[in-house]
Amino acid sequence: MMKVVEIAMARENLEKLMERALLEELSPEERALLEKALQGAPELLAKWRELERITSLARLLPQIQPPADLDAKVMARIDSLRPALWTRVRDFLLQPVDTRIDFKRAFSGSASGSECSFYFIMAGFYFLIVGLILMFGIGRFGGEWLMVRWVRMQPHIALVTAVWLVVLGIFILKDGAIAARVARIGTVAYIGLLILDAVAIHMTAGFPLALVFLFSFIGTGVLTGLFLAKIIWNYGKNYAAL
Amino acid sequence: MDWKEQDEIISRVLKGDRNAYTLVVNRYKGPIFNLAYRMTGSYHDADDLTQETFLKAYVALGKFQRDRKFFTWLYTISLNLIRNHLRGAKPVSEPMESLCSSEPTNDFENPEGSAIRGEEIKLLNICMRRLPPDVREAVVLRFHQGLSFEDVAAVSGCSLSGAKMKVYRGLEKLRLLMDETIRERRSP
Repeated sequence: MMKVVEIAMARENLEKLMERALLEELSPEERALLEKALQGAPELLAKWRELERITSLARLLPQIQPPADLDAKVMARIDSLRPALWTRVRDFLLQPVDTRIDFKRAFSGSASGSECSFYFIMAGFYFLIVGLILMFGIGRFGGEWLMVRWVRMQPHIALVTAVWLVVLGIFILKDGAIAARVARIGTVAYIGLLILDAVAIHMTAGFPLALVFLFSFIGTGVLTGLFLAKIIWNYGKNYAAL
Repeated sequence: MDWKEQDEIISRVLKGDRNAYTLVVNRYKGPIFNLAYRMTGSYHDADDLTQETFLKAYVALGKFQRDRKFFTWLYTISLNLIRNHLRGAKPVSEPMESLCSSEPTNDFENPEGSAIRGEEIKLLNICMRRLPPDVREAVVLRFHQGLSFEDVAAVSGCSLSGAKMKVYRGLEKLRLLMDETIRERRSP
């Protein structure tokens, strides 16, 4: 190494070494040798000191604080980029949605917005089928219990629940914090209303057949609701940091 | 924000989660704003260019290659916008000197030294504004933003040796400009 520096004693070579030192291409030992060599060339030494001073000053340039509302302005401009409502509806209806049925993944809390949405829409679809069966099939049953007004309303309740769950599913597709929050509240409301429905059937009908509703329609609905509540709670945790 | 977390956030944004993008903005707004500010010398322009950078990155996020560093990709977008801005820009309306006078220095222990250093930083700022934009960006990226030469090259779109050459040329030019400015000030 000594030999390298000795060769570089010529002014031109020293300048080359200075450049390499500033570009951090020299080892600390090589740099020390350069400094030593520069002692014999005062003009170059002054230049070297000056260049070193400039690099340290450039590093000390203060960081300027961006405007406090910068994030808000960026997000507002991004929101303004949103396509028109009809475009979003068309995309929702026509574009394929990447989703899967994976209950383990849903329970572990890593389900995406589109997966949660899928589960809600499927639950809604279940209630739609139940509602239609009840609507067209309930009249075929005879008996006193059909006279109870609340029992006769069950098909409608199932259909309203179906719409409610589908709407929540579509809302979750927005994949945002607000959607998660609304879906949480909606799921709790859904479970609560189903339980109230079960109590109402039991109190108004007051005969053993009401238990069929309690254990099939209502029971399945509550279990589905608990599953939906679990996945939407996990999904909402993604937004805790926001 | 580590690589994995960043990748996850990008995935969420790509799936339509706009709110997740605030994490990206929050993480990078400082460096991007400072780059724009150091390049334009205008707080207002830096604000506009930073917003534009994040907007453009949001729109182009689908094209981002996950094997690349996100911040170099973001810096490249920012730098392209800054270059375009500087091409058509009128001279900065806010005098750099007045902005710099309020910039703090870190020398708290020695007020006198702090004042001298403050003057030197002010002078350096003025001289940096007189550097050609391509050289100025290399110096800012290397020293103010603390990027490695490899990253400076990746962001600027030049070779490693090209990036090093620009940085050295910038330092040499700054030395001459600072020297010249000091002499001008001293002469009656």
